[in-house]
Amino acid sequence: MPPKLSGLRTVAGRVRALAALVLAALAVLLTVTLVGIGDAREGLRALGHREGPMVVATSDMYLALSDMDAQVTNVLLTGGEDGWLCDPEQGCERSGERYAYDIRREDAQRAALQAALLARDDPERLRTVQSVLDGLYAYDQNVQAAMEAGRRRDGPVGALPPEGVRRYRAATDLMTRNLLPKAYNLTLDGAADVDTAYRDEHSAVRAGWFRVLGAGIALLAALASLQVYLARRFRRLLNLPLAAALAGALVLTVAGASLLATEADHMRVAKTGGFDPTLTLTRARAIGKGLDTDRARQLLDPAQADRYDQMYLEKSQSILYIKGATSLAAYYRELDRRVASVTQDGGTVDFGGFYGTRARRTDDVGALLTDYRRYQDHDRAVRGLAEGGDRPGAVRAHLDPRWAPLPHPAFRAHDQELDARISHHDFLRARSVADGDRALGPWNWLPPVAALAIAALVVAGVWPRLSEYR
Amino acid sequence: MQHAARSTLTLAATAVLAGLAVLVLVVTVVTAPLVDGADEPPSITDRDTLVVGVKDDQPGLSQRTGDGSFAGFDVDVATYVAGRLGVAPKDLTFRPLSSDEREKALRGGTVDMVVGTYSITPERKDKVTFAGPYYVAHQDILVRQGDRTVRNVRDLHHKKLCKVAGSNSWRRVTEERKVAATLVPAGSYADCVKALAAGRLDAVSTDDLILAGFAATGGSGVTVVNAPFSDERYGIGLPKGDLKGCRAVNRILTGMYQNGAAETLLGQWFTTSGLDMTITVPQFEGCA
Repeated sequence: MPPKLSGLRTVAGRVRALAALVLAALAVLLTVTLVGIGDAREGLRALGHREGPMVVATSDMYLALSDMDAQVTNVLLTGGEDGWLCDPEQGCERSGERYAYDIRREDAQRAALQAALLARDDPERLRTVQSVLDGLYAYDQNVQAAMEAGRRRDGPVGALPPEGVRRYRAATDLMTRNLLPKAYNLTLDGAADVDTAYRDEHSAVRAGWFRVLGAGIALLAALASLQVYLARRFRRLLNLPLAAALAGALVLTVAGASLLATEADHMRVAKTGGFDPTLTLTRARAIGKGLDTDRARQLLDPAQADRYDQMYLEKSQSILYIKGATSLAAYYRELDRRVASVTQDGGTVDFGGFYGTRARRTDDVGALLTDYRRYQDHDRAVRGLAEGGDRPGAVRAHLDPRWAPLPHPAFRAHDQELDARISHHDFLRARSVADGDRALGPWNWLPPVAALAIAALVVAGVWPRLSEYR
Repeated sequence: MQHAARSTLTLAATAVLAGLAVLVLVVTVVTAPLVDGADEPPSITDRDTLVVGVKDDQPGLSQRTGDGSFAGFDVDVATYVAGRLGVAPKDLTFRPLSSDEREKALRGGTVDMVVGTYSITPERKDKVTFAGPYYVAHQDILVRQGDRTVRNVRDLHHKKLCKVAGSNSWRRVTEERKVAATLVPAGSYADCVKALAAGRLDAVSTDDLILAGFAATGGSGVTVVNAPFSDERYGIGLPKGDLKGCRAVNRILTGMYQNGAAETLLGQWFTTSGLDMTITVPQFEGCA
């Protein structure tokens, strides 16, 4: 490279080379800043505008399906088939449960649409969505048949004729063994997508932060070298335009790096403080709903009581896991003791499941645990009645004492506690994303403009010196 | 002289600063991707060969055949999953594992995955990443064909029930459900089934797929009652942390149920047992 080396021997050549180095560092700084901002924008979009809300919507599908089955079970339990089957055009009054069912069915379908959009080009997931929609239709048919078979009964509350039980079993089996697992798996898939997107973008933003700092330091060093060389060579203490460029580069670097650090933080809060707990708690809420329905199933279809009791215990264990509690009796006993030790004495958390994980991460679980324990206490009372042979009494105790098909207040309190927390975390997600978006606002035009200004200052600082050599 | 010295100094300072700028620039651009340790743990998705841990004493699920190979539903599921991961049957090795060796074998790397009636439990999830479950088995009851006196677990009252050393299944009947069955000790489930067929016992109770495997053996003379009273989620055990592999396996299992392969395999191994089988995809545990 003789031309380049010979160029470095003259003063003008050196100045030119140093100026080129400055401009190169400036170009790198501009590029890495823009790339980092692009990554941050992409991460926020995934969490806040695209996959994130869609996955939350899919998790609502599981909840809506659980809710549908709960409505059906409670109506069959209390003998409300006429209100259910009524056609409003024939002058009767359709029951509120039926309206609730229809609304939840629409919710489930809407959520399925979101899941399909999310699955985009994954054929397995699209087929799963399709089969949930098909299954929903079959479920409707079975529910209709169970309601019609149940209508002709005149026995005590809760005793469904055998044909009704058979059709109900077909419906609820379809729901619990086929539709709910698929809905659950779709949410898992979506959550995995969000996890991957978040991990990629978050580490890209962190790497961007590092790059901006590095490129900024390089730019400052290059500017300083130019400054030193010109100052000594041309006997001027300070080259003003270059000093201004140095200050500008410093500001741009610090601002860019701190922006990326802030964005990474917003992303982290939106994910771990918003998205993750929203999904977990929605899952817990849906499982809690299934829990209440399992007990209703047990009252409605005593021949399968063993199976429903087992399902109830499995669900309880996934909400709050107690090691070694393999029967409901043991579960109730241990639950009382362990929840009391956490909520009253501030003891360590010696249980797992959704609530165990949560109790280890935050202190704010007292109300949730207490409501859950109250619900299980109430469950124990209902089971006591059923085992003592008082099935009508158990059915009455299972539901709200005043508004029969409505679930019992103990269930509703726990359910609402969960709902409030879900709303809180979903709000947190939306707010973090909005904050992140707002901070990004001016950074569309700021870096190029700042870079242009710095480049102009460098040229202005170097040009008069170079012209002395012309 | 003074001027020359200052000039050298200036040149040196400039060169150092410029060199620093170039160095930092290069380092920044080259090393930044390594900052967050973005490299993932090794995954079974990257393998050309796989070693699969299985059981060797469960007919229908996984049993050693005359020529020393393994056959059964678990073996077929493992072969299917491995095939979809790009590992041909000839590159697949099966290794028999007892129940208490499974976690250690996964951690130590002697096996790459475990497919062997491996129930997903919260305790095991701390040590193992579970894909699946690929099937949710239930504890059920095996009786002689034609025996109509046992319809559910409470009908085992005063019946002779097999108690296999080292298995907890009998506890679910006599201890958890307080059903006063008469326990008859035996060395293995195979012995139980022989005794049942010979009339020395009234019932055997454990996971339905294990029972169905015995019942489906030709001329067994026994049948499954279809009175499920527990959930055993059979997962595919992977080394802890292989989330990528776990998701890939879950996708494969979803496909296995969608394309009917699962139904075919279940039918092939258990159809004559009298067991009602679930032929839709189970609810996955989620990769963690």
